[in-house]
Formats: sequence, structure tokens, C-alpha cells
Amino acid sequence: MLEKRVTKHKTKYKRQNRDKLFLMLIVMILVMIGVISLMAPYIAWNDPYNIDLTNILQSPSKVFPFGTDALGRCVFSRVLYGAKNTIFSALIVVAITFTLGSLIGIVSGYVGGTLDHVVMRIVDIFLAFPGMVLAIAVAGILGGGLMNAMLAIIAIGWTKYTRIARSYVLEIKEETFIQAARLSGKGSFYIIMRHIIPNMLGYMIVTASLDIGTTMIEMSSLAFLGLSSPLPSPEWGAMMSEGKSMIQFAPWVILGPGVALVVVVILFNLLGDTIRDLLDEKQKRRAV
Amino acid sequence: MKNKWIRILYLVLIVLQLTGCGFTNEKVEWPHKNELIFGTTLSTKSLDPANGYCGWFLVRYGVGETLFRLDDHMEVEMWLADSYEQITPLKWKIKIKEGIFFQNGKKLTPKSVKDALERVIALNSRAKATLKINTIEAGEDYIIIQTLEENPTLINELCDPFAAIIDVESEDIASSPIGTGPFRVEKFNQNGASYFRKNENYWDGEVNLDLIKVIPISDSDTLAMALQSGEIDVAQGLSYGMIHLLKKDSNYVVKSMNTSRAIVMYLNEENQHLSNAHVRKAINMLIDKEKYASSILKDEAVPAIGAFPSYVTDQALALESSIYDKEQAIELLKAEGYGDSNQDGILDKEGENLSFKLVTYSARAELSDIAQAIQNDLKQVGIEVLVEINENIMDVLSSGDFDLCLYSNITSATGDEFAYLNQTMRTDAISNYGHYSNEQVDNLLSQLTVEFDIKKRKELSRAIQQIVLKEDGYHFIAHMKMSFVMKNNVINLVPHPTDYYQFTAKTDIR
Repeated sequence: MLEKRVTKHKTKYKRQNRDKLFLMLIVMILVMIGVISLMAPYIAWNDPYNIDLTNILQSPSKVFPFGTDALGRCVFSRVLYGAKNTIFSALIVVAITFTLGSLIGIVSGYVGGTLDHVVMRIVDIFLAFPGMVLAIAVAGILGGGLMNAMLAIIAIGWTKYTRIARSYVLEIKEETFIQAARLSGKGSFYIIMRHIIPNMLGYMIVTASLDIGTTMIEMSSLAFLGLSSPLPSPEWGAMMSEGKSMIQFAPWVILGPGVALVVVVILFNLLGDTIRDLLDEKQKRRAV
Repeated sequence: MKNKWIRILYLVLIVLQLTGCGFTNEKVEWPHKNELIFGTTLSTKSLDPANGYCGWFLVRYGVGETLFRLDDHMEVEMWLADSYEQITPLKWKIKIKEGIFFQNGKKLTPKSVKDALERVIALNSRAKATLKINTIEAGEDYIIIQTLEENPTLINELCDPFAAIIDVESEDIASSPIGTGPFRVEKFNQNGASYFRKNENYWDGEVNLDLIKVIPISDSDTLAMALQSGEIDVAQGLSYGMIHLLKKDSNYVVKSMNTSRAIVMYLNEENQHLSNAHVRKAINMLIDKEKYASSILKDEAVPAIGAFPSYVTDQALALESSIYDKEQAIELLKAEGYGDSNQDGILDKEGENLSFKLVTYSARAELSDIAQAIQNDLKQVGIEVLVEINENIMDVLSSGDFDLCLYSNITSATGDEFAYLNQTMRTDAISNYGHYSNEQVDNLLSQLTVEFDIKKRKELSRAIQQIVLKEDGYHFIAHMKMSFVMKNNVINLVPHPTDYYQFTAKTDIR
């Protein structure tokens, strides 16, 4: 009996260690990608903006690792330079929607009553529209440009965090330790900061990290439709849009940014999954 | 253990799926059939020739025919008309051919021609403005046209598809007009497939095909795939890259024709820098048309000199325009006082940067590529260009919210050059968005309005263009080719420089 319990514990410990290791690995890879994208001007040996009409649609070679596009520009350099726009703009968007949405959700859930009803109805209105359609409409009205594209995605993205944050708050605020804190005279601000947020932060972070991948794809979709950075800015979505007509005779033009996008999105999704696995372990241990 | 095997199975399945992506270049035997399926990126909401430009589709699909038509060299030839004669400067007599019937069996008479023309003049403002017809009289086998003022290009304008002769008494002209052509409308769909059935009583010979199905496919990549999968027999509107690729495939035949569709750059002379002719010249000297035509346009275009493609091919009409010369351009700008006083990489003069907004639209993919190439070429000498893609290009042009604008339009729709020159180069003309103005050009245009002699017309047209090109009022970059890509067993289907004529009685599938 004791042996079984010890073995079970050892396996759980091993799995936790493995997950922690995996998490570290993914974080390291992502940090490396972040550093590479910031260091793009020092790493890329070709100018991503240099148009050379004698070299159009060259297949991958030593000089051009991902080949060249329809204007003779190095696809590899453009992917590297584009990484900064694509990845960091998505990170900023998620940071803003996460903070904004969670704050609204926490306040709405904690205060309850009429405020909660009003906020939830506003959220329902936003959710009534299909997400991307609304983002395209907002970006179209505001005009092109990276800032407007980010605003458009923020406009549709905050509602998700509001609903999740609110549901956690509703659950946590019924806990006995919250009652105890209230009885001992602690104010709402203290309770929220000291008790509620720490208990939900983990799960909110999981949602955010899983959301980064989706946001990157949404930003790229807007760029694909020409609603993001102006030409000739290298942005993965816009590059894929240029490359889609050339799949049959120059597949590298779309594959370069396409594969880069897929790899980064998978990494962020793995990050979210791993954090969630670790949190689940922690939760199980606590329950036991 | 089980998990491991499932993962391996998934990996194998994914790899197997990827093997499906391959390029085969086997020879295909396209079967003979009596039905042609035509895929095109263009669509129309109506087939009524009185409705805007819808007449183009009526004539293309072989349903409608005009009194006169243009041959491959843009010269007028007879079609429904037998001959014509100018009796006085304002009076024209046109003899109608005998033995022609509408698709509903009614005989084509001078009265039916008169009714059709009067209808289109009443309903189509473009027809009214270009034909300038006052009255039409129907005789025994002829009509007499009286014009409001001297109109030397009347016969050319009657080649425009708005003048297609249809039976005005038929019902529902928008969806099933009755013409005299080799195919009659069986079913017309604005957004879906339309069907055109063989006209058994066609006046000009036996019609080979039984049915033509026209499918509008707005995305050129989808169109290419439809052709490659065999779903359609002919594709119009493929991208230059695909045309280039399919030229090498022996299963397909590419038929191309030089057209007068020009890529033209407007220079807005209300911009303080562009009002200076030397600055305009410098900019035009930095645009390498030859390279753009061969690399970006993949030889599916011819570098332009003047507004019309004939000036490229016909030595006798040779014009002089600014040619690519980077060093000269730099010298010109220096001489005008432009230098980089603040070392920011952009030329400036009296504190103002030499910076322009270049607007174009994405409906034609090549325009955006050329815009970026121009941006790059001008950047090399220190001129800053900001490229803006705006689908509402007509609003941009009318409001003047541009410095440079890349546009594409047909410059020689009916073989005569007057219409385009008058609309773009006359002071304050409706399409003179760059506000180009020259008194001599205005005088020459007034002369051209009433000149009947064809040789003199050509000389006047040439003189007008030469002045404009010398002053760099416009920059004509290239004239486009138009191509049909078809299965190798389709015959007698060729594009026409005007884009008016497609299906004929002789079109067939072997």
C-alpha cells in the first residue's frame, strides 16, 4: 500500500519535473526568437527592402536561403524583419486585452448588481458579431496601418478575458477566506489584490498565452487583406497574401512566412498548454 | 505504448497526404465536345447594351453585333452594314446588309437599326455624347444619320458595343436581349453561370459549338485551378505568373494580343515640386520601363512611349519621351536646387523634402508591384515615395488627394485617338486629374475635333502627344497584352486589341 502511494508520488514528481523542464525549454526558444527578431538588422545579410528586378522569384540558395519574391527581395530577410512586427504587435495586443478585459471582468464580477448586468450586456453586443468580421470592419473604417489593425483586434479581444475573469471572481468571492477577510474589516481593493487576483492569475495567464497564437493569426489575416502595415513593410500575413498566387511556380514566397507563423504559433500554444498542465498538477496536489 | 503507435500512425498519414502535393506534367488528351466552358474574372449585372459598358459582354459572348467592327489593326470593317458614305459633313448614309435575321426569326431592317440606335442614345449618356446623332431616317435598305455637329469619328464610334443592334421589342432586354449573333441567350445569371445556345439561323455561316457556358470566377488563383483541373476550357484573367507557367505546358495554348490598355502615371501639378517640369522629367527618367515590362510584367506588356501602342510598333509614328537615365536625373535635380541639406537621406529645397504620395489600387496586382519598384528606384536618388493602396481610386483622382497616381485604362477603345487625348490632355478636361495645361495642345485638340482627313488626324494626334511628353505631363509606362489560356484543342478563339470580340461561329473544340 505504502509502496503504491510512494510510486504514484514519484511518477507525479517525475511528470512535474518533466513539465517544468519542457516549460523552460519553450520559454528559452521563444526568448531566442524574440531576441533574433529584435536583432534582425544584424543577422539578415540582405536588405529586406532592396528591390532587384534582375533577381525576381529566385529559388532558395546560399545567398537567398528562402529565395526571393516578385520584386527580387530576400524572403528570409523579410521573414526576420517581419518577425518583430508580427510577434511583438501580437504580444502588445494580448497584454492590453488581457489587462483591460480582466480588470473590467474583475470589477464587474466583484461589484455585481446593475453594473454587472450592464457590462455583460455590452459584452454580449460585442460577441454578437463574428470576431474577424468586426475586426475587418473596424480596421477598414479606421484605415490601414499597424496601429489601427491592433486597435481593431483589441476591440474584439477584450470580451473573452472579461467573461473568464468574471466567472473566476464569482467563484472565488464565495470562498470562506474571502468572507473571513471581509469580516476582519479588509476593504474591497485589498481583497481583490491580495486574495482574488492571485487565485485566478495562473489560469488567466494560460488563456493569454494560448491567445497569443490566435492573435498572431488574426493580425496576419488583417495584413493578408491589406489592412495592416503599409507597403513595403515586411509583415508575415501580407507576405503570404503576395505569395498565394505564386504557389505553383514560386512556393517559397508563401512558405517562408507561412512556416515561420506556424512554428511560432505552435510554440506559444505549447507554452500555454504546459503552464496549464503545471497548474493542474499544483491544483491536484492542493486538493489532495 | 498505445499512444506512441497512434502518434506514429498520425505522422505517416500526414506524410502520405503531402505526397498528394506534386506537379505532374503528363500529356492530357482533352476530349472533343460541343460545349465550351469559359471562365473569366469579369462579370456583368446586365446584357443590355444601353446600360453603361454592359454592351461589351453582349458582343463578346457572340449575341450582339454592330454595324461596323474593328479588325486586328484597329481599322474599321463592315459587319451588319454593307457600306457607308458621307453625303455632307453632317449627313451619313449607311447601307444595311440583306438577309440578316434576329435570333427570334425577325428580319433585320433599317427600321430595326434605327430603333436600336435611338434607344441606346436615349438611355446611354456615353453613346449620346460620342455619337452626336441628331436624327436617323430609315430608307429601303439604308439609314441616313444626321449629326448635331461634325463628327469625323462617327463610324469608329459605331463600333463601340453600345451600338449593338438588338430587337427593341423583345421582353427583358437586361437578361435576354435578342441580337443577330451566332449565339443566343439561353440563361443569364449575374453571379453564376450563364448559358448561350447556338443560333441555328445565323446569317454568316454555320455555328460550330452547340453551347457556351460562361462562369465568372473573380479570384485569378481559383480560375487557374479551374483550368488546370479541366473544369473550364478557357480562362481569361489569369495572373502573369500563371500565364508564364502555362505557356510552358503543352496541354495548354496561350493566345495573346497587344491591347491599348495602358499603365499610366498621373503627376499632380498642384504639388509644389511637380509644377516644375524639370522635376517631372527627373522622376520620369528614374522609371525603368523596359525592366518593369520584362520582369514585373513578365513580358506580358510592351514598354510604352505615347498613349497608344501603335506608336511603339510603327516607326513612322515614333515619339520622343524621357528615357531612363539615373545620372541625368540626379544632375537635373541638383540644377534645380535640390540637395540633402539636413543629411536625412531625402533631397530637399528651401526646407521642403522631396516627398510624394503615390496612390494606386489593388484590383490589378501589377500596379502595386510597379508602385513599390518606383518607390525603390526613386529612393536610390533621395526622393521619398509613400505608397498608398486605395480601392476608391476614382475618388482619389477626382479629389486630387495624390501626388503621383498609377492607373490603368484603355486609351484607344474605338481605334481613334481623339477621345482619350481630349479627355486627359485638354486644360480642365474631365480626366485631366493632374491639371496638365498647355495652350498649344488645346488648340491642336480643337483642330482635331473637326478634322476628317485620317492622315491629318494622325499628325495632329502625334503633335499633341509629343508636346505632352516633352513637358512630362504624363508618364506612359506600358501597354498590356491580353491573354486567353485554353486547352490545346480549342480553336478560333483569339483576344482582340479592343477586348470587344471573343466568340464567333468558327470557335470550336477539336
